[in-house]
Amino acid sequence: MKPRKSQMLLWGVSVGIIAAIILSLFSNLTKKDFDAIGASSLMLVGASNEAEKTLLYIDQSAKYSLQQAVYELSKSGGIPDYVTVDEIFSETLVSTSAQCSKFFGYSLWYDKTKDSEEAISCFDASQSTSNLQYLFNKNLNQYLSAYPHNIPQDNYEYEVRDKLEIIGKAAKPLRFDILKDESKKAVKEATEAKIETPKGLVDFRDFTDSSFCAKGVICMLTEDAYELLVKADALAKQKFRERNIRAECLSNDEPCLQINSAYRDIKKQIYLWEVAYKNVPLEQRRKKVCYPYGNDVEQRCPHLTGNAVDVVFKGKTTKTMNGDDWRLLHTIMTGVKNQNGETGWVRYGNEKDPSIGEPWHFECCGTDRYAKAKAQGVTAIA
Amino acid sequence: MQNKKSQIEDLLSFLAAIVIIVFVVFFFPSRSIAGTKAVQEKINLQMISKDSEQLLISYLRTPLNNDVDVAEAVNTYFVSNDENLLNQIKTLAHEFFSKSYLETDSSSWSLEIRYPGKSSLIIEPEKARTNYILRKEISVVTIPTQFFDKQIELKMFLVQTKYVPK
Repeated sequence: MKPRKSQMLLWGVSVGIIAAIILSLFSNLTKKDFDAIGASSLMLVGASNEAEKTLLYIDQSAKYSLQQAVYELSKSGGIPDYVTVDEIFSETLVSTSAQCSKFFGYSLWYDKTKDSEEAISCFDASQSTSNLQYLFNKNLNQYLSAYPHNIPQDNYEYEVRDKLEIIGKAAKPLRFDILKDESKKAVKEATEAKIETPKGLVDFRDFTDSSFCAKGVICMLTEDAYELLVKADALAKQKFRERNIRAECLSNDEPCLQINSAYRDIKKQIYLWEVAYKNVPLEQRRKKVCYPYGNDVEQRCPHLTGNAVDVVFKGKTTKTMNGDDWRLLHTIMTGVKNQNGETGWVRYGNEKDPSIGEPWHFECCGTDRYAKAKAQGVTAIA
Repeated sequence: MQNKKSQIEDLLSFLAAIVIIVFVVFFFPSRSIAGTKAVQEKINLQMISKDSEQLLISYLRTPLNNDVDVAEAVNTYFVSNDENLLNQIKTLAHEFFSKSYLETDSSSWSLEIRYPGKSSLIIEPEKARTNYILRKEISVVTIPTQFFDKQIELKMFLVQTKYVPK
């Protein structure tokens, strides 16, 4: 009989081979980001192609937007009706920069009073470039919002050359995922970001591509504000269930709240003031957009702090939200507690009169409005 | 000297090792080779897909007339039904894609253009129509129309055909 030692060696080899096979099989079963040599390069090329396709779409959209803008501008006699850039503000604001206003829908260029023979000029030709730029941007936004990929809106600084050539420089780059599983719905988490503010570098959460953020919007909030937003969403789900409200967010595990605007940098705030609302009468403009100049701009413009949001229920717009929706939203947002057990968000408006202020605008975390509301013991303040 | 039974007993462990090694040598590599081939085919198709996407984008950006590129011309055709414009689009497509790697002895291409509410336009060489075996979608590009809410979708297909020398 052979010695036991040699038998042990043979069995050892066998067991080793079996273990290697099992290990190999298991390692092949687990899903890998790159399942073959060259797969990562292909993904990179794929992302690059996606960017090229999007740029082609933007270029083509810009052509049609300009054609449409020229048509609309000439149709309105060079004085367009200034409608707000997005749906956040539901009102239609009509330009009254022309003193003579309109006559049966036609913009008047000259007007005469009964007392005077002299015609008053109502048309400022120097405004035509900015009017064209306004209409172009409005049209381009509509195209961009229709594209499947998320393209930021109001993202271009325009330069008009030779009257009909518009050059747009993107303020923020387009973002594309390289590691994207096309078979799965993209659920993107908020990422950390540092933003230079007058108070120095502040930690922010960038949740632009997450389900919280409306399409075409760049969404960033301070860490504290984002945490309160997540709490508010959990409370929204709870309230929806309690009140038997049917909402997709309860079945597909997506947020019930949608952010239409969050942090804005000063450039964006100036853009809103100077371009989007340019010809809106000053009194109306001040009610709708914060004046972006002066040393106290951050106190007056809460969106600059990253502690303010414009929010609606997912799947609704400011136009489709009804009175009950606004009341429920107010209950949810102000029902959230911060770490000190205080009301998390306060609204711009009045607790008793929902027509005052903006029912979609909430602030938190030590903005001026938040501090005033806290001092007065209210959850809404104008 | 050992008896026969003990001799067989001694060989048992050796036989077991041989069986496992045979399994490893014959079965496992063949599995692995088959897997590698499948992945290789997938990678090849993806490479063709990515390349065709680039080709399609270049095609759409190519100027057809002085001021109009193909993307605009396609849009104009669906609004105007201008046959002359369609012929120009088709001619350029043939020049572009029939000279590319998509056209081989056993493969061809097919471009399907969908405009919402209108019947699709298909541009493809004769070979792709008559010797067709299999069609695989390899790239999709979306372009805008004059209307904000309507988009044109262009789909490029790789068509496997019967062997026809180029």
